[in-house]
Amino acid sequence: MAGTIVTITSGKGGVGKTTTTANIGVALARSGQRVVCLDADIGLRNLDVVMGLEDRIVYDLIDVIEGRARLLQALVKDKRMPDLNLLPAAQERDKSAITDKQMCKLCDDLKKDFDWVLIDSPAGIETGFKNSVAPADQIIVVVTPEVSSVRDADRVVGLVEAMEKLAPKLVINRLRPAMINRGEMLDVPDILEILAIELLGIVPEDEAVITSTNKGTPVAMEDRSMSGAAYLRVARRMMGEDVPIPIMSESSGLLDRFSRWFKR
Amino acid sequence: MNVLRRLLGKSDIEYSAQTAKTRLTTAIAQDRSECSAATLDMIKQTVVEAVSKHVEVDDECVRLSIAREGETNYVVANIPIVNGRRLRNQSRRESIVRRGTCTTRAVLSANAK
Repeated sequence: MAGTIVTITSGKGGVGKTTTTANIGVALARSGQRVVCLDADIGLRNLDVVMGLEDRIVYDLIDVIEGRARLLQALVKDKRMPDLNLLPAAQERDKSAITDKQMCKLCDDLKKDFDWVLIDSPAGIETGFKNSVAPADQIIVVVTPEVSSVRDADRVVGLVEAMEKLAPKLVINRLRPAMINRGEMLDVPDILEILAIELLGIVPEDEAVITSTNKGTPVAMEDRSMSGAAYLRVARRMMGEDVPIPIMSESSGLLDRFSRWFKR
Repeated sequence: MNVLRRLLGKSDIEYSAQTAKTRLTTAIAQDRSECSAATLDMIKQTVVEAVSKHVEVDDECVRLSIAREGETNYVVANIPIVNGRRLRNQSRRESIVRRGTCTTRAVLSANAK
């Protein structure tokens, strides 16, 4: 059975698309799924560095598209998790270097041998974004609980719907429960009411993400962090399991605990 | 919003999350309606002209905005009309200065989907 192509996008930059792509890839591979993480951010590649595979790149996706390398030569196999692979972006070119048709053809080839092709879309809504969304069977929109991120995500949802793709699903990243309890951060129901798309998962703000990027070991590889656990749950939902979204909370004052009780 | 805070009398503080939600909803309604400020201005002029044919309006106080209710965006026009009827013992000058409280709500739905 052919694999599924999932594009991870957001509109706004810096909200966690690359981190989410890397960690969902790791989480799926941990469950025995054959995964390719594809970096579509040509010219500003980062998926390689987040996955800790930056020193193993020989060829990139433009080499494959332009016929200088075969797909197998360009794919970087993660030695820590053999089911996990990376197809890196080119660093010297820019997003106009390929067309959406070329992306679709590349992904169709990948689909034959892998269960999941996860495309890390660049920020923005221009060529790079369009090329990333064109081949997608499913789309994940990553958002942080901030005004600018939600506004841009809404635009992206509108564009995706105009491209006649299936309604995207939402990952809310960098949630801070203490700020929500103080009424200083947009809450999950507020974001869902505005964007009106299905929630796939919530990832809390977690310093472990920074240290994991420093080391090149995505959080979902180790069972030590809240964010890692959240990505593992997202992967399970993507595989069809019904995993409830836990209530995020941080230990806070008595008043906050009481008020949380009232809210439920 | 937060029951306990309300009970303890903290409800007069507007929490920034609430402000964010309000501002976002308005900004997104505008984005989705594809109604730029220039377009709104043209709609305003057209509406004021049309209403002025039937009643006298206070065109300096006319306000247009985009609002959202459920799935639909609305152009909402608040058009103060000059109250022509004089109160007893009120001079004509006073009755013009005292603006009418009627508003004419012009509702044009735009496709929000």
